Amino acid sequence: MIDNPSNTSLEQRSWNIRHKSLRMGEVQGQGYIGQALGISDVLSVSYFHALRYDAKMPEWEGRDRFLLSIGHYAIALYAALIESGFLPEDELETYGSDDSRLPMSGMATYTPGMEITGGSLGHGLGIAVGMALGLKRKASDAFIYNLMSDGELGEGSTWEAAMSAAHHRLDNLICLVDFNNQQADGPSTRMLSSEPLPEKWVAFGWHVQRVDGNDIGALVAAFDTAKALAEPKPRVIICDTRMCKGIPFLEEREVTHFVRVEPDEWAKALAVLEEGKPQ
Amino acid sequence: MTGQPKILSQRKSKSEPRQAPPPGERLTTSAMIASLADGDTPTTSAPFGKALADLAKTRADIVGLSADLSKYTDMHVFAEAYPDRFYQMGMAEQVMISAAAGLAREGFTPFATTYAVFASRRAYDFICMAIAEEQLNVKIVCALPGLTTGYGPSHQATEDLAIFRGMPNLTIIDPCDALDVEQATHAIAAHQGPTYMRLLRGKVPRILDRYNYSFELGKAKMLRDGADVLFVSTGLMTMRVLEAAVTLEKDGTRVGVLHVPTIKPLDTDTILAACGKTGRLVVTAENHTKIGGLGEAVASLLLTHGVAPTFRQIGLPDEFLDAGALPTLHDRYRISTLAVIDQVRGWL
Repeated sequence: MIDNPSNTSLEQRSWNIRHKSLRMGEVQGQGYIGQALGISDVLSVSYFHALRYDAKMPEWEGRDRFLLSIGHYAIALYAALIESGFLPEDELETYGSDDSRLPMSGMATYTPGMEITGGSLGHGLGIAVGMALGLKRKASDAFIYNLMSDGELGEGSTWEAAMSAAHHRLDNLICLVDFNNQQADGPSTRMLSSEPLPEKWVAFGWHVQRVDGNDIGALVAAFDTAKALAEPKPRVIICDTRMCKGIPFLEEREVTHFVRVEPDEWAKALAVLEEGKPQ
Repeated sequence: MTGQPKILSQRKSKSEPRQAPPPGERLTTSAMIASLADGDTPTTSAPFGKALADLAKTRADIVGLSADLSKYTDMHVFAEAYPDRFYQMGMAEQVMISAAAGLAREGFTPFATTYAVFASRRAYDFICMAIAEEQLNVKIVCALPGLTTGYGPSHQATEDLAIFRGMPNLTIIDPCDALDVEQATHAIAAHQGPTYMRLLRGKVPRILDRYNYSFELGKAKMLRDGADVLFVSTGLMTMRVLEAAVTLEKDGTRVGVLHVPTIKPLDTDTILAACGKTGRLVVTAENHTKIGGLGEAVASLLLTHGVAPTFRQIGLPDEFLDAGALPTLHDRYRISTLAVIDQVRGWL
C-alpha cells in the first residue's frame, strides 16, 4: 500500500500537472487545455492526498479506482499519471500521436492507470456503480472515484446511475463533478441547466458537498469528509472550477469548450505558468 | 402437416375498426408471452434460469442482473436460488448494462437480462463502449427476440441481430429450443468475452434431442441432409423448418437442415461446404427482419466465396409489425411452418 508520503506540496503538484498538460498541448498543437488547467487542482488532491495506489502496479487489487468518464480530459489525467509515476515523463511527447499510448480521448485498453474507456458521456457513473457493487462483493475497503463533467448531468444515464448508487447504498463511491459551466455549444447552465444541483443530488439520496474546485484547502477538506462519512450513502463533491485556471490571458479569452491556442501561445502560456511557480 | 397458412387480409390502416365477431364466437387474441410449443411438443420450463442456477453451484463468479424483468427472462430462478448474487436494477437498462460492465471489471461474470428491444435499441451505446470495446466478460440474455410477442413493435425485436452484428467483439447466439438454451448457457459461461443471447423463456419446446445434437459455440450443425433443398436456419425457425421438412419430404422433396445458432462469429466453413453442394435450393430462415440477419450474412459469405446456389430468404418483412395473436402473426408474416412449406413449394 502506498500512501504517497512526499514533501512536495499539493500546490506544486497542481502546478506540475498544469505544466505537463501544457507541454502535451504544445506537442499536439491542440487539446482540451481549458478543462485540463481547470481540473488540475482536483487531480492533485485526488492523486496526492486522497487516492491509495501503487504506480508500479496499476492493477493492484487494493487500489482506489479513479474513473475518467470525461474521456476528453485525458490530457489532464495523463499529466497526473506521469506526475504520480504510472507513466514515464518523456511519453508526454507522444500525446495524441499515431500509435501513442496517450490518445486524445482516454481509453482503458491503451493506458496504464486509465480505468475505463470514457468519452461517450454519461457512462462513467454507471460503470462506477457496478465496480462499487463488485468491491462490496469482495469485501474490499477501496473507493471508486468517478470524475464527470457538468455537461454529463444532461445524460439520463447519469441519473439512472445516481438512483442506483443510492438504492444500493454505495458508500464506497465518490463522484466528482467538474462544474466549469462549459459544454460544446456554450455555458452548460444555458444548454440544459442542472441547477439547483446540490438539491438534486440530495433528493437522489447522496451526501453532497459543493466547493471551489480550485481551492486546494477546500478540496482536501471535502475529500476527507467524503471518505470519513459514516452514512451508508454515495458521496458527490461538486467542484466549481475555472476553465484555463492559472493562465490569465487564456482565462480571460472568450471561454469556450474547446479553447483555441495559437501556435506561438503555448510557449507564452508556459512562460506565464513559470512566473507563478510555487516556491 | 397439411393445409394453408392463414393469411388474414391486411387492413387498409391499423386504425381501421375491426368488426365484432358473430354472436357466440371469439376473435383471436394477443398474448404477451405466447407459447411457441404445439400441443404435443415436449417442453422444458425456464431452461435458461435453471441452467444458470445449476452453473452457479460451481461458479462463484457468476452474478445476475435484471432491469425489472427477472420473471419474464427466467432470471427469477437464479434470483431465488442465489438472492445475494442477484441485482435488481429496476427499469433502468443503461445503468444495468454499465453496472454489469463494472462488475466484470472487478472479476465477476455478470448475466444481464431484459427484453431484446431494450438491450438493442436503448442500451446499445453502453453495450458497445462499456462492454464490447474492452471485451469485458458480460453475458446479455434477452427475451422476446424477433416476433415472439403479439404486443406490437414496442416489444418485437425484429432487428436486434442486425443492430448487434455490427458491433465488434460481440458473440451472438440465437438458440432454437430448450436444449439449445441450456447448452448455450453453459457454453457462453465458459467463453471469455461479451455475448448476446436471444432467449426463449417459459415453457420452451424441446426438439433437438431427437437429432443427436449438441450446442457448440461458433458451430453450425447439420440436423438432417437432403439433396433438393437446404435450409440454413437459426433460432426458433430451425424448429419450423424441421417440421416443414417432414411435410416436404412427403411431396418427394429431399430436405437438409443446417442449424446456425451462433450468428457471430459465423461458422463459415460449414456453411460454405453445405451450400456448395450443387443443385440444392438454399433457403435461409430466421425469426428476424430479412435485413441484416442470418440471411444477408449467408448471402454475403456465399457471394464473396463464389458459391452461387439458387438462394431464397425466409424472414420478417421490413415493416413495423402488427399487434395480435402470435399464430396469426406468424402466418401473416410467413414464418409459421405452413408458411415455410408454402413458400418453398412456390420456389421449387
